[in-house]
Amino acid sequence: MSVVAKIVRAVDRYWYAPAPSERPAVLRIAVGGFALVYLAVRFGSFTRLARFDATQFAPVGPIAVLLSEPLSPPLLLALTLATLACAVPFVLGLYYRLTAPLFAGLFLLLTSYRSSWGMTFHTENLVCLHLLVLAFAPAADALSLDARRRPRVLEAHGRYGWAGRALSAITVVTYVLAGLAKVRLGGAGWMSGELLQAQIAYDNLRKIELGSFHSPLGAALVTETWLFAVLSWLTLVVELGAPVALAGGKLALGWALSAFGFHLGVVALMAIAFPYPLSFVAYLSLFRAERVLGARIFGRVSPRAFFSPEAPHARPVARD
Amino acid sequence: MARFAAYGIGMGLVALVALPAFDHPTEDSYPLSTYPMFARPRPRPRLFFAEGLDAEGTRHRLPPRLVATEEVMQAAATVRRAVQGGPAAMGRLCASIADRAAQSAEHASLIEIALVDARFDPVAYFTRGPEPVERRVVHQCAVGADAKSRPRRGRRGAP
Repeated sequence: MSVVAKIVRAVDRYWYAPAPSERPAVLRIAVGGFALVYLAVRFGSFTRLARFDATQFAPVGPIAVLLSEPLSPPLLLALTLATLACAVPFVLGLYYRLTAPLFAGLFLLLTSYRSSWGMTFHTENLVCLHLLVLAFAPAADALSLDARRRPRVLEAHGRYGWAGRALSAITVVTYVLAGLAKVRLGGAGWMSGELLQAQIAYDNLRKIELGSFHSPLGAALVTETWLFAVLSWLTLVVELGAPVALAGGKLALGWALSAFGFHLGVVALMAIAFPYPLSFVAYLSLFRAERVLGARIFGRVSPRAFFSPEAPHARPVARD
Repeated sequence: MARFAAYGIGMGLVALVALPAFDHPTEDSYPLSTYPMFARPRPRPRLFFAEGLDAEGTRHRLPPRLVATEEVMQAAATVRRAVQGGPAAMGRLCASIADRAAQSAEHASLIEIALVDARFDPVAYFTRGPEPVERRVVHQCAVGADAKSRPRRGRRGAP
């Protein structure tokens, strides 16, 4: 066998690794559930975009292709309501092949529209990308209303493995890109901690001047230059070291906890919350997500929906 | 079909997400991004904000929801883009803030709204004091029914 063929087989073994149908299903419920709650909590923030003057409109992403002027307030309200409404069948797995791409597309449009007013909401990129992957994956073959109408899938298969791999790869790539941007834009200033110190100081000062709440801890620590050198290096280790998470197991757990800690640090020092990583849902694909079904709480909440006669990870494997 | 989705959609999306690595790191978009948010050097950053003035001339910070939405950075970007848009854009924004201030019991003492362009030394702000290096009122408008809007030439320098 040639080297190329060996590489192709190794990639296929990794990317199309057999998994139980519950794995993408759990990811669908977790990521979709997060998106549903997020949309409900931020509903006013989305609809209040109608307040903006049309001259402020600076379309990005798909909105730059689709719209040359802002939506009217009723249309914006309709888009927000439709996105929120479509999140429900996505989570429940109802007519998934139709409702999932519809929801992911609407979420992409709505969040792109929100970022089309001079500020990009980087807190929404990852959940949006994860929804897009899940929308085209067989994520409703288990734990869904659709699955109740079909024979139960009892074999693990590669078609249930790739979505989790893709979610993990996307998560890793976004962290690596953030690390690269720091090296390329900040360079030596980033390594010395000077840039991070100025960034934290600036972020807190602008919140004070803009009449919002800031981080008293970040403001108090601004003079501790040595601390920012340490934090800068730690940030780079977490971001550029993200690919180790793809190895799975303890490395994935170690990296996910480090990334989670990094986001906690951002909250403590800058009062900026990235809700998706802080919910830990962003990192769920790095693990055998179906194992959460073994947790007692799921058996109590809905034994009919979640009971499985055998552990999903111990299923026989089906091949193409 | 399942393999097509796995590779075409799964790997295709991963490749798309990685694509900005080949752009300049300041080239940001959504949902594909270079994630430059905390990476840019900021030696003396400029900040655009709105403030309220009461009858005694005391300046009051305005919460972001009075400017745009409750998102603080979006409020700052809104003021910046209005200043860059010129007197007409500043006038419209100032008037909308004045309208919201007039309807807010919390801001009943305000008689005027000002759009401010200021430059700060971020670290010195916390170590030496919060005075900006440079401060300029670029637009003012009155709060209330007889609201009038006027652009300001503004004086550069210390406040």
